[in-house]
Amino acid sequence: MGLRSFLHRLTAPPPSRRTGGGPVKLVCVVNQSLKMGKGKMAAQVGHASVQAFLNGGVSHPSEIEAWLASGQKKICLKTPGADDFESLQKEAKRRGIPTHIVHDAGHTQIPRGSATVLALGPFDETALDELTGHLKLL
Amino acid sequence: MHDAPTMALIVRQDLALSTGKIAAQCAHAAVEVVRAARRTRLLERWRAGGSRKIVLAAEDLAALRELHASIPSACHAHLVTDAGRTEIPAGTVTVLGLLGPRRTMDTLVRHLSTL
Repeated sequence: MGLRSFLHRLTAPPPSRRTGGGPVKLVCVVNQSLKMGKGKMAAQVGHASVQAFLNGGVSHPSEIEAWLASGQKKICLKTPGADDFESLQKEAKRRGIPTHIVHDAGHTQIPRGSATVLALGPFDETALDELTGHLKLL
Repeated sequence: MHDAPTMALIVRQDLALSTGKIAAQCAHAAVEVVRAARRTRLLERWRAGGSRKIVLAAEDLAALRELHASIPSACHAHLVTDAGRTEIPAGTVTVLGLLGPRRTMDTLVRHLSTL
């Protein structure tokens, strides 16, 4: 174990115990107002997923384990603008769902700092469906 | 950081996947490449350098396999095979994910166009 991961282990919050043994998935919500090309969008969703995976490994290890074991179920949804990200994130936090918002570095296509993708999970599928059921598929 | 490692996500064009499907498959590749490169200096440098990612297009499966076969040992790779729940049959190879030093990657994927 490296020094950084050792320190992390000491300071990280205790791992959450999973409630129920239902399927786990990751939801990526894309901000449609930025009019990103499909390659750009794929890169941003990739970024969101990697972050959700790495953060989840620390905060929700049992969800990550179940998610990897079941083939990394992933779904991409869209929202008209970044305004929805805040309310979704707030509601997700209230329900104990891990979240991560990707802010673009602004190298290509869009202004620096734009919120491009909101990752929700990996977490219990039913809880995620309740939160994002009204959003359309990308 | 101009020499930061690069991740390339190379998508098969002959499958005509939807935008959402492409994004999900690329995300899958990205996560798997990160797992493959776990605990390496390369991965640390990639993350510290802003997790640089490019999404490219490959003509078909043969092009993807050819690339996969020629990957230098300095790189980490993962070939995504779809579970077949939506759009395409199970077992279809969709995306090749690569992580490597910037110069190696630039040489490797120079002939491909961005998606």
